[in-house]
Amino acid sequence: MLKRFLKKHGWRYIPGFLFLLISSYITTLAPIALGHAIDYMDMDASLIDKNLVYRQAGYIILIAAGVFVTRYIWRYFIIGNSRFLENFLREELFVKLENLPVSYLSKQRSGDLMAYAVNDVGAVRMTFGQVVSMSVSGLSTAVMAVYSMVTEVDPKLTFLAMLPVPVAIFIIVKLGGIVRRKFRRVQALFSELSGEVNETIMGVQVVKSFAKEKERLEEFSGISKTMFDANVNLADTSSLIWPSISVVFGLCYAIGLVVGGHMVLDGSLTVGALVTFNGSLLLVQQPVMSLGRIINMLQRGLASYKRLQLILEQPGIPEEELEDAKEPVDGDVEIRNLTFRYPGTENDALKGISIHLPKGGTLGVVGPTGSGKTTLMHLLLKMYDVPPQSIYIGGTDITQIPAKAVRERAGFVPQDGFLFSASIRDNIKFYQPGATDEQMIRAATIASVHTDIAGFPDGYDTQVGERGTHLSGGQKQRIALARALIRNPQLLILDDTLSAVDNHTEQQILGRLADYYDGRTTVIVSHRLSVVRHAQEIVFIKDGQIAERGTHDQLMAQDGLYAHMYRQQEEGGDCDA
Amino acid sequence: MRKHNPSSILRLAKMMKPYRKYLYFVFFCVLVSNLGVLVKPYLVKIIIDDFLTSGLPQHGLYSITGLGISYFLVVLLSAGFTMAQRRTLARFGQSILHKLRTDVMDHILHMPITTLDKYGSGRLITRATNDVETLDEFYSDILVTLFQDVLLLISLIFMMVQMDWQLALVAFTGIPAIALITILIRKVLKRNFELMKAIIGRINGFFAENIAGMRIIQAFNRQKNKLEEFRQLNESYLKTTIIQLKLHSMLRPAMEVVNSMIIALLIWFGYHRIVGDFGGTAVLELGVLYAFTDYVKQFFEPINELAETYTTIQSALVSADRIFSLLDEKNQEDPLAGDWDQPIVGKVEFRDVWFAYDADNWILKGVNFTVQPGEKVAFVGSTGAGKTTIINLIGRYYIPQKGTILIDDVPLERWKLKALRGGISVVLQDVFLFVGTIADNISIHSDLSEAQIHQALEVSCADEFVEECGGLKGEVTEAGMNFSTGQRQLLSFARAIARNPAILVLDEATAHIDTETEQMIQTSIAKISKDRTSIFIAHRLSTIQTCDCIFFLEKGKIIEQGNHEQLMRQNGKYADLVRSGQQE
Repeated sequence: MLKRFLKKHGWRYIPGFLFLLISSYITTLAPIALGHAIDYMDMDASLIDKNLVYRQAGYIILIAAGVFVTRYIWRYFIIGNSRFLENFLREELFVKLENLPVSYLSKQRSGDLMAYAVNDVGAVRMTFGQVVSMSVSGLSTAVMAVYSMVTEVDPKLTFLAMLPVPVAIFIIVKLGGIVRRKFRRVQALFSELSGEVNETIMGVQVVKSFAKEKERLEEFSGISKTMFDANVNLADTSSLIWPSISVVFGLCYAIGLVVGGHMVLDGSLTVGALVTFNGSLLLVQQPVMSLGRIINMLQRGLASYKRLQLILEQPGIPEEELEDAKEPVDGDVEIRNLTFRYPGTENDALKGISIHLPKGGTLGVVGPTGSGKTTLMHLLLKMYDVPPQSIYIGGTDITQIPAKAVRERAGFVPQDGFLFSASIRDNIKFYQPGATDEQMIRAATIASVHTDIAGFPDGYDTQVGERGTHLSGGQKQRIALARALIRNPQLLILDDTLSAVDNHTEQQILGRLADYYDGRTTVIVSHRLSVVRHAQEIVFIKDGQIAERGTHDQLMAQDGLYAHMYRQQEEGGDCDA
Repeated sequence: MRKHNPSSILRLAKMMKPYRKYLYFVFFCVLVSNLGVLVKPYLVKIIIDDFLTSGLPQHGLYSITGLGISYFLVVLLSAGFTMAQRRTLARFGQSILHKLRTDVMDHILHMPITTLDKYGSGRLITRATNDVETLDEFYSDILVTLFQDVLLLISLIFMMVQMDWQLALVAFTGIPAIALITILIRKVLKRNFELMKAIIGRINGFFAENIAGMRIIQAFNRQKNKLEEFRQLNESYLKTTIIQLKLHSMLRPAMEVVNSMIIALLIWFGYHRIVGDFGGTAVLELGVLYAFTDYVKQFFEPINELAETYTTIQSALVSADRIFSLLDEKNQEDPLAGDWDQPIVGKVEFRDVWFAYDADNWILKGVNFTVQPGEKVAFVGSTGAGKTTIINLIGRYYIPQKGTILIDDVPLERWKLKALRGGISVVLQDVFLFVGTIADNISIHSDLSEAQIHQALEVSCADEFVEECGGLKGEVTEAGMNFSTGQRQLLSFARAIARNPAILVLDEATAHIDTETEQMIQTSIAKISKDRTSIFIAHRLSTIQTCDCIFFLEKGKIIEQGNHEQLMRQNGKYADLVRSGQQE
């Protein structure tokens, strides 16, 4: 998945790494310059060459300026590239999500899909930015620092002082692993605790009505205490890392001081060289200290990379489905002996469904929850792979028509009345941003929601969604209906769209739809039989099969499931005033 | 800048009181390990000045080897204290955090419904999670960092002045530069970071919404438009991150430049001292020069941290204000509650009850009724007539302004809340299920036997689907989403009757569910209301018709009452309602 990114942005790594290496090199020069300055002053006052000392002071400033410039450049190229990568991956992911078939999306939990966008993209970015640059710059600086210790100071001294370093690396790798494990436990507990907070607050009324405040608090306090223990346990281990590394390096410094000090007395080393040595040792210590963080980020990054790869490699909707139709799609809808099974399941969701829906006709679909009504609607919209030779539009097999063309002619109104966080205007004009306000108001009027909207202080500019005004379920459903109507669809699909609308408004909407929809094809799914009563044909679906079919009167005369359900609904009628 | 409640700072300090011993020890550890930071360069200085350049005789500990060993011992000591400091700090911070979390939760659980409504669940959750976390950061991190940094700066200055006050003055010329650069860059960084956060928030929101609405987007072929919108957001985020990157890339190297300039300045000054340009006899020891270059390097970190700490302290104060104002809310539902603690028999009586949520907007205007033990009654009327309010008053979630409510002839205010609510089960319209097992959700922290739970499930017609979902141990996911609306209803019935309450109050759900489930719910209602006082807020005719008495509420008053036949004969509002409902 990175090929396209590297092709476009990969070149940045070349100047990036080049300047990074230069930067590391310059960094290791600083202790040398300081050592030289000290050496030039370590003699009788009359012998000191002023220019030499000044020159070293100048070098020290130049070196810092050099580090400033090179570091800025490499960070811009390497870390900057990780930001480009983040941008690239996020867009790839978004495009992918938009092109994944509904059959795949509906199997995923939305929280998991969000985690890709939020956590995984971030973790991969860190790997390609921080991890790559920290390890390369740490390694090169450490190697160059050791090199300057060997050449500028003394090989034997360097070797002796470096002896303890592997121990530090061992400790950091070993303890780092344990800390990571304990940290994961703290994180897991943390989300459990947050969950408990959420639950308790959301359900506070239940807790109160059962007078169980005390017991609930005890449970919460128990989890909080576990969290306390886990955190302290983590701290007990993690508090070891930094001090033990500093002890190991303390030993390196001490060896350097003692051995190096005696070498100075022997005359085999200058004081300045010893200062250089101390400064260079610090340049070795810093990368070792950051090793733990590098490993941590790398592990997370790799895991996230694998997860992202998995979703980005999912086959999307094929290209040909997104083309325009070669010829106009219109005419009767015919379902011939349709049998459908969701991929990966063992039972047929729909079995042997045959329906003829003439152009301009109205079909009512009723039946118990889970009988397959919504599945049938999704197949009419080609949301899933429809088996060949089972659905025809105007005599053409739906599998031969691009999904885009199928959907273009349809207006779909889902059960939950899903709206986007935007103004009501934008929501209704979702399909046709260019639609006029007259068209919008007309659609809203037919959907019997215009009066509601006009009553809001901001009218059609009222913001809805998470941060917006709270709309009732019925209002949402009716706005979603207006959204479908504005596209003037040839096929209108109402998937239990009026479930939260009261009886009076429901009849009003149906009446207006009948006037407006003269000559258009309509499919109405409903639990409430009053909604489908006037349809030209009503099918009663049970367990994925058509159990009964006919007009309302025929079905009542038949005295079967439909008639039974109708009578029940009559009896249990509403008594809300 | 936001104005803080000055008492918040005091209260933040008060919270530490029970754990102050931990804190004292932490401060002690900081002192010791700080000493190590100062002593190490000083030991190197002695080695350089006394032995390497002056060649003084070495004896005992006063030797290169002796000082080398001391150096290692100092490192060992300060490492030990650093470890102890971190461990103690974790105990200190976590203790306060645990206490704070439980306090906040305790408070929320005991707040009256009116206060809970005022806050709303979203804000309460933020208080109990985000705000508590922010304070955690304050106690576990900022407090000690602050102490550590200030201490380090002071002792660095002290050490340098002690060693050579002239050289120290030269070195201090860098401090304003370091402080200025840090504060300036940090300021821009912070502003840009706020922007970054805002944009990434929108991007994540955009993602979440599009995942939720992908069906609609695909059904309407709107992928291209959404992608365009997304690209714009994504691009503007990229821009802010690059700005952030550039600023960050400058901060530390800029410090290095300042540091190096100070070191160069020290060398220059040192040189002139050595050659005696400043007159006098004060010679410069090279070791001092070395120690100074080491000390100067340590200036940046604390200044940088202090600049950062400043913003974190501000957000900690904001959170503290919020948490303390929550903790200041009254957390006793009924301070005057009595101690009447008898099992409820089941008589309910309202005597001229007046109630308003907001002053003067009366919801109930003099309601009178009596329900005898074991009777079934229903309240009907239009939305806003006051039906739900009656439920809230019976459980004493709200307190009426005028009039008296009696259970078993004892006024509510004389009842002990636990006894009162323990004997009345309320079923709300919106069913809330907890994550856990089915058994957890039925027993709600009560000690019920499996047999009792089974019986409750059976009576409420929930036993069949519960068996299919794994029995009592069956899993309940977030908000009970793994059950249908109807199944959740039945579970809430089972939960209500499991403890065999004398009074059942049921707010019937209005949602339309499929007919089969509807039937089951009706059967269940009939069974669970048997042998106990039952009060329904009814939306379905079938529920009402079997009631002993029906109260018709309009604008806060009972305008008609009697059983179904009586009211139909009366041919009033109830009869109208029934006829219009049946027209459907």
